[in-house]
Amino acid sequence: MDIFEFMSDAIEELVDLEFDLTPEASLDSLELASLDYIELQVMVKKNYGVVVDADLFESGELKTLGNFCSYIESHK
Amino acid sequence: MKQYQIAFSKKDVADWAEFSGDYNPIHFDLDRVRKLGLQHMVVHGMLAIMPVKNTLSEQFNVAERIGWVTFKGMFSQPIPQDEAFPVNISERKGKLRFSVRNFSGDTEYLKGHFAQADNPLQEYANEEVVLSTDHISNQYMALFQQHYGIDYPLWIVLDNIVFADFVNSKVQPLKTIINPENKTPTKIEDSDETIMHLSHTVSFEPEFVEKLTFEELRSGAVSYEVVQPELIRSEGNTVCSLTLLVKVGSKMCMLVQMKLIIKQPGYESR
Repeated sequence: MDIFEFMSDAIEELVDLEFDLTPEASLDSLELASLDYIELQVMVKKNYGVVVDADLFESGELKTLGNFCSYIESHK
Repeated sequence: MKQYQIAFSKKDVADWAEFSGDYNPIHFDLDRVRKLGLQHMVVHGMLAIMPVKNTLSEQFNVAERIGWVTFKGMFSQPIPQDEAFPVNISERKGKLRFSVRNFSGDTEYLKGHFAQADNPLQEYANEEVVLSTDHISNQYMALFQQHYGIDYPLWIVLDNIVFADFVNSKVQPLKTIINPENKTPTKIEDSDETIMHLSHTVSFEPEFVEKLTFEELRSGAVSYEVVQPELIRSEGNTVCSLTLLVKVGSKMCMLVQMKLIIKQPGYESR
């Protein structure tokens, strides 16, 4: 399973989306709550050993799902 | 979409504390609650999701399911005591989802789902076990039966008695694993740290678990192992992801995953 597929499954477990996820999807559009971000951080650390600092979401450095996946790819 | 309500009184909270041993001050001490930026004492997360689990279990027709199923509950916001909340249930893409919001709909308190799942035990076959239990005392079964009767599905009973044993016997040793410098950790109720349950996921095989009886669970057949926790540390907070592998007799039949956040004094509202 590639990172995008893994992340898409993880997000769809957390939120009930009425559209298909694409790498261009902005994280804001997913309406993730702070608890959802914690769940994603734990899943990413467990599966890829990558620690994603919450500040990266708050600062807007990780704006899209594609940005998020690229960050994991480059740090694993 | 179906809707019903949940509400929990101070007596409900006291009964749950007696059963589970969870005397976390956020359920009883208004001063501690105010440090979290809240105005009301809060309901235990495990108590709040118990009736939701029961309703979803019936609607998902758990007893008839083949293979593994997973229930996930997420505690988005602490639920205040003595207040009613509507529970909305809907089904999409094979998942039976629930959401608990206030009546105005602007704040979500709980959410989660029931779904069919792959057998998750293979994933944990080689994980390091850091705490284990020979068997769980039947005092938890007796207290569960006293407060909640015998009509709950057995997977809910099993999940709750494992949680009660975990609170009573594993939280203190776990604190030493999380922070090895903490040689003499205090009980939850005496701790300056604030511990909150963020999410609770239960995976199990209904074909096996739902055929168990109260008597079997009371016979001391239940044991579990705690896998090395996954920790994410940030300033003042540690998120701890825990996995409990539950056995009845010699069969591994349930996997419980909990996420807890441990907030240091001064960081409660962040």
